[in-house]
Amino acid sequence: MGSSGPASIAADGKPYAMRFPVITIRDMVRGLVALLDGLGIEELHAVVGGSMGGMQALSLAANWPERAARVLVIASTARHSAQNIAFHEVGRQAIMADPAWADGDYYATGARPDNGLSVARMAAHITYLSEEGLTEKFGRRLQDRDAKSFGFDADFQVESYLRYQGSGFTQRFDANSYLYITRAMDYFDLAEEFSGEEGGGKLGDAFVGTSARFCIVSFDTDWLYPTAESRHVVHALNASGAKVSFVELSAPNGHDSFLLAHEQLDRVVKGFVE
Amino acid sequence: MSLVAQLRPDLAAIAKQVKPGSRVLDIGCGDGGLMAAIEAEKGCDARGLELDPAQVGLCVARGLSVVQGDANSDLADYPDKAFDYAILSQTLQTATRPDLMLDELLRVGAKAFVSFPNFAHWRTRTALMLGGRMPVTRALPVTWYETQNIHHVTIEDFRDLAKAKGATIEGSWYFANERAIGPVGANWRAEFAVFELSR
Repeated sequence: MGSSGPASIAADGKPYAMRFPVITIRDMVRGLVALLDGLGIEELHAVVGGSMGGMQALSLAANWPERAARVLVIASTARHSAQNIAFHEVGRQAIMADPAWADGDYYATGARPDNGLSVARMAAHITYLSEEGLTEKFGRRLQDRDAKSFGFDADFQVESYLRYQGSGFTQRFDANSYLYITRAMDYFDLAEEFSGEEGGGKLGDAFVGTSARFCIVSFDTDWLYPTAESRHVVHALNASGAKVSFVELSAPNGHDSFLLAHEQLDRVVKGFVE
Repeated sequence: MSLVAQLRPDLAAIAKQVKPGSRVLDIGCGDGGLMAAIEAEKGCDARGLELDPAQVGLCVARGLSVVQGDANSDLADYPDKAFDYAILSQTLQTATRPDLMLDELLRVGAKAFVSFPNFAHWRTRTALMLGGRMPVTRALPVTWYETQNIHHVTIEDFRDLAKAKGATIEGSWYFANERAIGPVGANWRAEFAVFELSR
């Protein structure tokens, strides 16, 4: 995952595994800024990010304010909440509780902590959906059967769906990367980065003097990064005098709504970016 | 024809009074017509607050900075005197607490413009007196049970509120038949009024 990660080969010819340094959202953005430097791009017309990408967009705007003229943040937050961290911790513990994880040194063992990673993804996937969306899509319907088995098979469609999502994820994601990336999001607190020596930073301080235009978008059924988190960002941008727009869009699919077709989102993005 | 001249008469009157280059908050900005006009023609730095997400989308598409929110609660998010002007057009009479909203206007803006339909216009008075029912007129076209106007107000009521709030009336403008009219007998003759306040 990404340019390099725990699966990348270190100087000793072995994968870094858990020797890979813990990185932050700002580190990720620092890498992107280095790429822009390499490409000779001084200012981006617009930076657009959803979810963790939105955190990166905010981090870029706060730390490298001259690099983007427009900043569009969709279904995101300026800090991970206790609930966000809690769900991530469940996922990490699932991976680390898998015997195949082997303290992260599984690359040469021929076994991978797919069971743990799969459970981690199942838990995370629930946070991307909404109760309304789950009810509409699955309800209490049974999977490929006419009656409940009164056992522990995937009787319900929602169970089958989650198992499928979990196992599919293991095909394309390294478990250690999952640990590092979730950790980077948990450590994200933009206000804290800009706190003075006595601490107690205000998020508005992160954006003082910025000339970028901002647009913040949330979805009404997103309980992972709810509208209140977006409003917190908008409040801070207003307080710092930045040009900011905000809209809460209505969509039934929870956090995932930002990945799905949404006519009003298209209009807002198009209007803001053009 | 200039953008300002194309505005609704009460908004055009406000746009003409706004000083060039000033910072403006338009509360209940709708599709952003006033904001666009004063940004383009008076070099203002305008921000908007609007409840309807579809209208916010239109504003963003026009390149305006508009936040979706409820004026009854979200003005609290703005710092003191963040703006040279806070504008509230045709919204005061829909507020849960118009008096508290006026306080917030005068807190976030050095000056405030408020426009509202005048319930004491002669047409409204005669409709109520002769018809005995809540008036449905050109200026107030919606029935009592569907209207968003939950706090009907007259020009004299508004003057009393401004006085009670310790606000100074810097100017006032009156409209009937889509045109400006003089101040004489305005509480009878005006369908709409605009006040400029400071505190």
